Amino acid sequence: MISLDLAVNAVVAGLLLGGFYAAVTVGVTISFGMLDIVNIAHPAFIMLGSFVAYVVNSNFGIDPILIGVVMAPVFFLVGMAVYQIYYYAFEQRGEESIQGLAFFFGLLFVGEVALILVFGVDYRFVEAPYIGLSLHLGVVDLPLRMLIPCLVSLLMLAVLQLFLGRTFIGRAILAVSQDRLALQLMAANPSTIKRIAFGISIATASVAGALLIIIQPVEPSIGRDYIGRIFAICVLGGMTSFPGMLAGAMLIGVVESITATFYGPSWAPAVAFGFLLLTLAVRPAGILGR
Amino acid sequence: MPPLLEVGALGKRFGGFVALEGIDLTVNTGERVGLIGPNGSGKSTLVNCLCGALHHDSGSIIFDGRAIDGLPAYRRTRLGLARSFQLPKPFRSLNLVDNLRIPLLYTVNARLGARLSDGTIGERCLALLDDVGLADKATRLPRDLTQVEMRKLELARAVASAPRLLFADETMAGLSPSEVEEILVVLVRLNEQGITIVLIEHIMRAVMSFSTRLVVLVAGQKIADGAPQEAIRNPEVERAYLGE
Amino acid sequence: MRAAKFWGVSFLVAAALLVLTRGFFTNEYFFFAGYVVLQYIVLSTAWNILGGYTGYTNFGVGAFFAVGAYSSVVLHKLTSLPVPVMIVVGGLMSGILGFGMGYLTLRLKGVFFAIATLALAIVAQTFIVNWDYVGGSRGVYVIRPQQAPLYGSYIQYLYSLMLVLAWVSVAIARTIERSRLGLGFNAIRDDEAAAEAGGVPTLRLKLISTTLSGALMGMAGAPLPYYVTYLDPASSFNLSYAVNSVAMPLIGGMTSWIGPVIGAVLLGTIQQLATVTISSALNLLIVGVLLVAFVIIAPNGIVGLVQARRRARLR
Repeated sequence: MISLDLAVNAVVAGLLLGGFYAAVTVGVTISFGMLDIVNIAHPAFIMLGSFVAYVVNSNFGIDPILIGVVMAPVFFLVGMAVYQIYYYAFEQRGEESIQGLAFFFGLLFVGEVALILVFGVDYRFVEAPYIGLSLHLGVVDLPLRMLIPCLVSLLMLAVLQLFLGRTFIGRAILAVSQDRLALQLMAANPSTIKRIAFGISIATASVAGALLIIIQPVEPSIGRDYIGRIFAICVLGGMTSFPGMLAGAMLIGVVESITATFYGPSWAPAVAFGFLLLTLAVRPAGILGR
Repeated sequence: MPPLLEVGALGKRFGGFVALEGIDLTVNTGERVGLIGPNGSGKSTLVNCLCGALHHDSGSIIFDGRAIDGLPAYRRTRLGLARSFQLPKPFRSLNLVDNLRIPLLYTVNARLGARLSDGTIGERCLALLDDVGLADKATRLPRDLTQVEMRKLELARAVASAPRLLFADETMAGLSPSEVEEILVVLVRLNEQGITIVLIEHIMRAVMSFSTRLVVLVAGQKIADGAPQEAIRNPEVERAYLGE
Repeated sequence: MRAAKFWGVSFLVAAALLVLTRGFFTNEYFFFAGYVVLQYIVLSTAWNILGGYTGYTNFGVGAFFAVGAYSSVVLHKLTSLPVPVMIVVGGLMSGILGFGMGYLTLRLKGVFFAIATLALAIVAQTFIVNWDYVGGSRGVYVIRPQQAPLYGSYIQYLYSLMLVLAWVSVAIARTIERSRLGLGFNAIRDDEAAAEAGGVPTLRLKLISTTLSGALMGMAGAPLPYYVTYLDPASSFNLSYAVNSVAMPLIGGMTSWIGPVIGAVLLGTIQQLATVTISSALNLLIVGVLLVAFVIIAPNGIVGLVQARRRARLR
C-alpha cells in the first residue's frame, strides 16, 4: 500500500540529509566527544554561519559554500576565544558542571536572540545556481540542494579524519581525548591543544551553517531543533568515532525523512529526541561502541 | 561462628575484558585481611562489586548470612558493609561535621531502632573526628585539608556508618612513611573496636605488618590466600610481582 | 529558625505583602507584572530544588510548566472548577511527569541528563501540538471568568493565588534545605557515589527531587490559561522559561532558598520594565547576557558574593 516511489525517495532524501547532519555534528564530536566540553551552544554557531552566508550571498552573490569555507578561519578564532573564557572560568577553577552547562546554555540563547534582534524572525535563504536543480536516476530524485551539501559534508569529514590521524596537532588532539595525564607528562600543554581543537570544532560550524541555508531557508530559532539532533547523533555514534557518527547521522536522517513523509512534518522534531532518549536508556556507548 | 563475608565464584567482565574470574573469598569476624596484587589485577573491581558500586556478572555474595547480590550500594552500607574510596571523595560543599552527619543520618539512623537525636549525632560526629585527629578542623571545608587529612576524613566517614566490615581501598597511596604509620594506627584501633577490615594496599610493609591473612589477586584471579609470610613466598606471587 | 517558625513568619510576611499591594496599587498593570514575577519565584525555586540542591540541571522546564497549563485547559473544557483546585491538579500532573522523567533519565550523568530533559520537553511539546482537543498548534482560547472570588479584578485574584503559591514554594524549599532530605540532596550533588556508599538512597531521593520540582512548576503553570486567555504550545513550552529558571537561581545564588527569590525579583522586574520600555526580544537578550556574565564572574550568585564578603571581613 505504501508507494514504493515515495518510500525510496524518502530513504534517499534521508541519507542525503544524514550526510549533512554529520557536518552539523562533527563539531560536537570534537568538543564533547573528544574534549569533554559540553558545548550545547554549537547550534548557535551554526546559525551564525548560516546568517553570515546569507548576508554575503545576498549582497555579493558569492556561493554560500565558498563563504562558509572562507569564514572558517574566523570562526576558528572565535572558537579559540570562547574556549579561553571557558577555560578561565571553569576548567581552571574546577567549577561544578552546572555552571559550565549554564554558560553554554546562556550562549545558545544569547546567540539566538541576537540573531532575532538583527535579522528578525523571517526566513532567509540564499541563491545559488544549483538550488532548484535535481538529478534523476530512474525513480530516484536527487535534488542538488541536498546532494551537494551532503558531498561537501563528507569531504569535510574526510579532511578532518586525515587531519586527526596524520598531522602532529591532529594526533595530539586524539591523545588529549584519550589521556590527559599522558600528554602532560609529554610536556605538551593540554589547554593549548584543546583550544585549537575547540577552534576547529567551531570552524566546522561555519561550513555546516552554509550547508544548512542551502538545504532550507533558515530563521534564528531553527537552532533549537538541532540541539537534540546533534547530541543524539553524537551519542549514537559512540561519542568519538567519525564513522559511527556518520552512521548515526544517516540513521536519524532516514527515520526523520520517513516520519515526515508518511506521518507529517510535525512529528519530525520528536524523532531525533526520541532516538536520543532510547539510546541513552539502552546503549550509552552508541551503535558502534566506544 | 559463620564467616562475616562469603564470596563464591565471583566474576565480572567489561565487554570482552575479564576483570574478575572465579573469586572465592571468606572473611571472618575480627580478621585483618590484606588484599594485594599488581595494578590492574582487579582489586578495586572486586571492592566495587562487593560494595554494590558495580553489578557482578556471576557468583554469589553472602554477608552476615544474607545474600546481598542484587542490593544497591546504600542497602549494603546499612547492613554493615562500608568502604573508603581510593581517591577521597569528600562532600566538598559540606564541612567536616556534615560530611560525617550524612552516614550517621542515612545509615545509623536508618537502621531499625537506632534513632539518634540531632544532638547525639553532632556529638558523635565530633567524637569520630577526634578519633582521627581532625576535631580542630570540624567546621572547615574539605578543601582546607591536607592529603593525609583527607584520607582520614574518608576513613572517618566510612566508620561513621558503624560498619561491621570495612574495605579500606588504597588509603595510604602516596603518603609519607610517618603518614602511613598514622593511618595504620587508626586502622588497628578500629579493628580493636570490633570492625573487621580488608586492607587493599600496595605498600607492602604496611600490609605485611597489619594483616592476619593475605589474599593475592593477579589478572582477575586469586592466586594465594593464607598467612602473610607463606602467601608471599608462593612462587606465583613472586612471579607476578618480580616478573618471569 | 525552626521550620515551623519560618512557615509562620513567612506567612505573615506574605499576608502583609498581599494586603499592602492590593490595597496600595490601583493600576491593573502592577498585578499583571507582579503575577509574572511571582510565577518566576515559583519556577526558579522549583528548579533550584533539583538544580542547586541536588545538582541536576533541568532544561525541560517548559514541559512541566506547560503540562500544568494544559491540564487546566482540559479541566476548563470538561467542567468548571475553582482555580486553586486546578493548581493542585496541575501540580499532580507535572509531578507525575517529573517522576516519569526521573525514572527514565536519572541514571544519566550531568550533561546527558540535561539534554534528556530537553528531549523530553520537545517530545511533550510534539504531543500537545498534535492533540486537537487542546487546540494543537493553533492554540486555544480561554475565557476569563467575569467575577473574581472575593473582591477585585480577576487578575488581582490570580495575583493573590500566585503570591500564596510563591510563599508555599519558598517555605518548602527552606524546609528541605535545613532537613535531612536537603543534606541528602547536597551529598548527591557533591558526590553521588560517596553518598550512595554512605547509605543515601540516591535513586529515591533523586526521584523525590524531580517529582517535587516538576509538581511546583506545574502548579506555577496551572493558572496561566486564565492569565493569557490564549494558550498555544509555542509560547507555553517556550525555551525562555528554561533560560529564566536557570538564570534566576544562578544569579541569585543556588545554595539557599533566598537566591532564586532574589534572582526572580531582580530579573523578573528588569524584564517587565524592558518589555514595556524597549522590546521583548531585548529583554531575553538581557537575561542571556546576565546569565553568561554571572556564571563567569560570580558563579555562586549574589548570595555567594555576600557570603564571600562576609568571610573576607571575618579574616
